[in-house]
Amino acid sequence: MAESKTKYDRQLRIWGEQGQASLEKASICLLNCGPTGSETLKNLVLGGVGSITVVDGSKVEIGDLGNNFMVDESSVGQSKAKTVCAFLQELNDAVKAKFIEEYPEKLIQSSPSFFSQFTLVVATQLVESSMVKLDKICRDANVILIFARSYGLTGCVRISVKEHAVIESKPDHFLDDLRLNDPWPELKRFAETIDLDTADPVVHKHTPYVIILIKMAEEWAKTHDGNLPSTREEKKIFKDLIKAKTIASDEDNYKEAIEASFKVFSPKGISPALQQIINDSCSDVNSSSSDFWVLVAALKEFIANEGGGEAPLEGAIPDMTSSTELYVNLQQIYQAKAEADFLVMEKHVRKILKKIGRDPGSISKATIKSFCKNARKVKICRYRLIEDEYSSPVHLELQKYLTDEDYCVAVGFYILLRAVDRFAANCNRFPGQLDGEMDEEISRLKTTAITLLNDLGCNGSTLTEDLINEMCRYGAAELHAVAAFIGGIASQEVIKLITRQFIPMSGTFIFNGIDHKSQLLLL
Amino acid sequence: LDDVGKPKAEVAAKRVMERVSGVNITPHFSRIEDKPLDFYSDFSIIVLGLDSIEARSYINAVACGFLEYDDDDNPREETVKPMVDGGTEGFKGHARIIVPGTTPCFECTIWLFPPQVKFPLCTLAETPRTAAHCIEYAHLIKWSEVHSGKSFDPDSPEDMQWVYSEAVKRAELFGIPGVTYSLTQGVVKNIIPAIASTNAIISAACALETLKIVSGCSKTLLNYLTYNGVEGLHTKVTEFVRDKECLVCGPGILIQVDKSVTLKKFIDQLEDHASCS
Repeated sequence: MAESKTKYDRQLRIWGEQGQASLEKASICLLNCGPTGSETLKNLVLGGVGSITVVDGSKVEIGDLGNNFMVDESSVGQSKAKTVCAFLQELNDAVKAKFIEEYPEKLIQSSPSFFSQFTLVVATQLVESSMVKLDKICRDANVILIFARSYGLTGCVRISVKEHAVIESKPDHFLDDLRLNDPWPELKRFAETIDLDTADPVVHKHTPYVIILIKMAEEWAKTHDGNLPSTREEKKIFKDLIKAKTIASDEDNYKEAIEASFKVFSPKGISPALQQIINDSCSDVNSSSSDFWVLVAALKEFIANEGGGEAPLEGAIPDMTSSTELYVNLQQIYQAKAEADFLVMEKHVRKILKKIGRDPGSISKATIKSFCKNARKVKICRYRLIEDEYSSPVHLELQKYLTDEDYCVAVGFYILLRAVDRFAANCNRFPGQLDGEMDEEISRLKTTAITLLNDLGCNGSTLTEDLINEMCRYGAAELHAVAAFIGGIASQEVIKLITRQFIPMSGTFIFNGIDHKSQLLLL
Repeated sequence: LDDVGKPKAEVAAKRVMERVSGVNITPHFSRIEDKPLDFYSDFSIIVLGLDSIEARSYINAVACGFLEYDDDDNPREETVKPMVDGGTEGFKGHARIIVPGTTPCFECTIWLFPPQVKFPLCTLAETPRTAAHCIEYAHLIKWSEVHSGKSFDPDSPEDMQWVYSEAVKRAELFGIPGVTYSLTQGVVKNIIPAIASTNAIISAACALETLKIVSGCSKTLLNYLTYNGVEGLHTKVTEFVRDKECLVCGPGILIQVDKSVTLKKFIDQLEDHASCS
């Protein structure tokens, strides 16, 4: 155990012990272990995922030596799944690695129940028809699915799961929860014990800005009918009032107060994003609801009642210039309120669980606490079925992408990746794979693409000649560097999905290896 | 596991050559500053996987040092030594290409880097508030009080343990929670959290660009890619512009002097020059 702590030290600092534990419990299935699949799994094996099963029916060929790091000369002629599995195992002996020498298409067709045993399936280099079938299988079995594909200098990644709830979203820059615009009684009382206009200059410059702003906001409200500064003029005057209180030029606490004054002006209550989650039909819980929605239902109750329109207090405060004593006291006051809010939330959770016929103790204190701390930041991610997206993409978005300078190459590749699958379904090979006759290939691909655009209701739209030529030039080649990039993206999303930390990408990621102007398409 | 302790360059070279036949990798287990300039001038392209601003500055100066301009202030193609640079931190990373004389060099865009976090000494000495303050107090102040002369070795577990227990004592004194051994290491060593997937993404981008530059098979990145996987997935390409007056990669200013000029006259001439206002 101590060994794994040091081995995984760098990544433990990101997703913590719980995240690592989730990874170690996960079982991943890889379909096709060409460069894209191998690179995806390589990153997951290094990360310490619990077990992997590699499914591929092909044998290692000489051509594979030029683009797949998980095969070598001595393995030519052998099962690719077996070879890749062995090399992956070498990277981390804590991972349980298995292989199955079988074509994924066969399993998708004749053994759909095979996939139910996994936490997540990484499906690489599949064509449209297989993708659609597999998508339905995984949706029914409640298995997370992620598609990844490399094609010349382009490629794509797409998650497919009905619903993925994230409590620990850990966004980069999120406003702290200081409630300067609406301090609760204990915080107000504490602020009252402090005299901003103390004669002692050392004390004066070590008064934390939280106190400064609370007191000044209160004073303002007294002379403004109970309102806080709202117009531009008022906000400026408020800042000037703070400035006027400084008695020396090196008072960092007052500088911080001026910089943070916007926290006083910010509107009370919850964000529109959180409001949307609260209003979601799933928050109307019953016995089959997930724990997440039970927590949201409790949050709804809290906000409407004890919270007075606010979510439970997060409890943490940022560092700020202050005397140690005042800072530690302030920390304790915030922590006490967060704890009190948590206890109220816990009561709501237990009550709701009972009401829907579940064991009131079935959601742990730790989970409820984590939810309270992260309440303002929780996220729900939903993904359309591939079949739905493919048959009826969001028309408005598609039109926008086709005509937007920043998106037209990406959406061009998106259309072409589907067009080449149609081409292959008709001609049993991808465009450009035959030597010579390039002009014919280009024209055939162009026709296929235009037909597809028409099917999607975009008659009249077209793709540039350059892009169609490019796609034929690629000849469906899997370049290692591109596969490594796609594999990196895919593996990163897998980690977010399994640890349930950080927010996974939405839509389809289209890679542009020409100028790196990749895009996310929300169709 | 028995690779641990051996030089990374040697192990990596050996492994890759074992796996990919026909490729030739020569490992050099040394600091980049210890190589003579003509070592670097031999290469057609330099790819960087460095971990500090200083190291990047150094190699940037070396590569840009090879650059020569013609009389019209255009870069001489045969003296241009392109570089591909990548870096990561947690879920974020960047990849960029530097073509001295055409794209900005590392110094042209040095303002991109956020200032390093340094706690004010008075906070550490008098008003600590966070666990990190207590740790840095033990590391930067208490250590030299007690171990005068002997410098702190971040790789020594005993030294680290000492800093940790001192930090705990200080934290207890001030009632500050949160000091752990792991945090101590993180703060003192400035450990950057790292994950395989981000490294894979950025190194793949760098490899792809290097292949494109060397083979000419496609347009290249122009010229700075940032990646952020914290909230969803964001990639952005920015075309930064060269600073024409960059001291490292710029053509400099042409000043003509008479062979007979004295040093004093030259300095006067410089002072009067239009760009020295």
